[in-house]
Amino acid sequence: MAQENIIETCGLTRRFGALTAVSNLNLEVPAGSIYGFLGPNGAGKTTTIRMLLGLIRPDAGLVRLFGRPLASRYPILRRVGAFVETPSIYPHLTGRENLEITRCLLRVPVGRLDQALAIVGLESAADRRARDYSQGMRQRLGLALALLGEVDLLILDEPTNGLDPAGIRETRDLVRRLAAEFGMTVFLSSHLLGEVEQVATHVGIVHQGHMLFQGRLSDLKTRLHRHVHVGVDNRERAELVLGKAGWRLTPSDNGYLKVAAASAAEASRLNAELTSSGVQVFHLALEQPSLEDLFFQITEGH
Amino acid sequence: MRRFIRDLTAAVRAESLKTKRTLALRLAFVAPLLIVFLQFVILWHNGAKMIRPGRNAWMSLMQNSLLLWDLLMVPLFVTLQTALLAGLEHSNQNWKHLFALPVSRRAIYGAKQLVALGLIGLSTPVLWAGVIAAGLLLRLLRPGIGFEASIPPWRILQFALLSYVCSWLIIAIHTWIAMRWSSFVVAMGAGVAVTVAAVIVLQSEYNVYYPWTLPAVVTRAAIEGQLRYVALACGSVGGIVVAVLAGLEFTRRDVL
Repeated sequence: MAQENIIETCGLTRRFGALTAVSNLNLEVPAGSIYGFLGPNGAGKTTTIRMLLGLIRPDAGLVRLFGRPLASRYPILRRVGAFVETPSIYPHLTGRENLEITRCLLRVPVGRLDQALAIVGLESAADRRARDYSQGMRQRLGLALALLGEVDLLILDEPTNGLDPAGIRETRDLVRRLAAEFGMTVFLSSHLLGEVEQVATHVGIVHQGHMLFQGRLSDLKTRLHRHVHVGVDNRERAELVLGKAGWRLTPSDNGYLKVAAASAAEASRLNAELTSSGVQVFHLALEQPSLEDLFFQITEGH
Repeated sequence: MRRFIRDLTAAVRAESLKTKRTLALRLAFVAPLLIVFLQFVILWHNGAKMIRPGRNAWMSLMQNSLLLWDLLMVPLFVTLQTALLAGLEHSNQNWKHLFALPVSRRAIYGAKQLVALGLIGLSTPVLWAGVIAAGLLLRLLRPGIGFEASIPPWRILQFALLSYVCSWLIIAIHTWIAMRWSSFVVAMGAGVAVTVAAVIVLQSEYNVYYPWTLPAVVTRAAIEGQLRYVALACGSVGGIVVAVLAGLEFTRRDVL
């Protein structure tokens, strides 16, 4: 049974003068996933998100949310909560008053306001003016604003901008809760790869406006190059032996040899090769590539 | 259409929440009272010379107040109010939030426009009340210069309302400028420039073509018994047309 894609784009393209910010992008965000939309600054992430929300019109291509084209904005956007780069708040008003403005525009019941405050943990600060909030509290207020509607899809563009590590962790936990407890699909763009790695089920990697990889995070990790870190007594001899036998070595910064090896079986073969050539092996570890490694592998290829 | 009206109602309510703890409401009282106060001081000081025998003191007070109000205060006051309303969104980059909501963007623009109209409209009865209060105070403090005559409250209100209706075009233009450009300096600069020009244009034959002199031209002629229909239509209906076109233009733009 095909999983429904909550977000789908087809050939999405946007230029700004001579610069092509987004080029022929085909996004597929499955329902119920936490999709990490990754890319360096200037890759086209924010432009893409603004096109998903109808804030920017694409030069070419289509956007479909919940299987419907974005042209029918109102019923679709009722189910979307968005946080775009910075929280959109009125500093002279309290947290509660800020939420009331959006609640009033959305015409949702008054109870949603307290629910949103409870989800982000701002109940005690709700009656203080937003200008007195810390950065973390403002971010949480921005998220509460995104959660006021009957949200099935949450689109977050750099939600951890300017947050300290505690704030980043809070946001991460909140995202997990929203997906798990409320069944929301979360589309999250960030340049903090380590953070995204901890929450995302799927990733899409963009670079210079093009999509380089899209799919399950686990698939990405198995697809790309893995390495074995080997600690030996005679480094020069080991390099000679491995080079002759056709193993690929890459530079490493931790004193060990870094050899390309795709599986545990290959790691064992490597060990056997070295020891049979008289090289003593005292450390052997199959490296699980981090999202950061994978990201650079993919983007450096382009 | 029904959705638009619903969204517009919600947006107007949201706008009134946003203006809490801002100067918007206070300005609507301060601006007209400032004009009246100036006129009061001038007449208190120089009343005997300024009000010629045979002239109605109340009409003099009203006419001078309205002239100052129409020519100088209205453009600047409108500029400030519209810049304040638009600035609420510009300063916090709230357009990206507002325009991503399932709410008609035209309703959001329309609400800003209506609230601006409402705030300027509110200053009209304040001006009227101020003129009457100033006249009564002058009756008390400067007997003999003419304020013992009976108050013409409906005439004063009539001309004040005429002035307001003619200023709709000014309100529409400045709403658009304030929304379109995020810089407060642009909005204020435009306001100051058109006001300074208005002082000069009023003396010329082009004063019926220049939006910022329309209230003064129409009110002055009406006081002299002549209703200038074309100028009135430009100020009022023209204002509605410009407001609609401006709203359509603004809401079609990308939110970058």
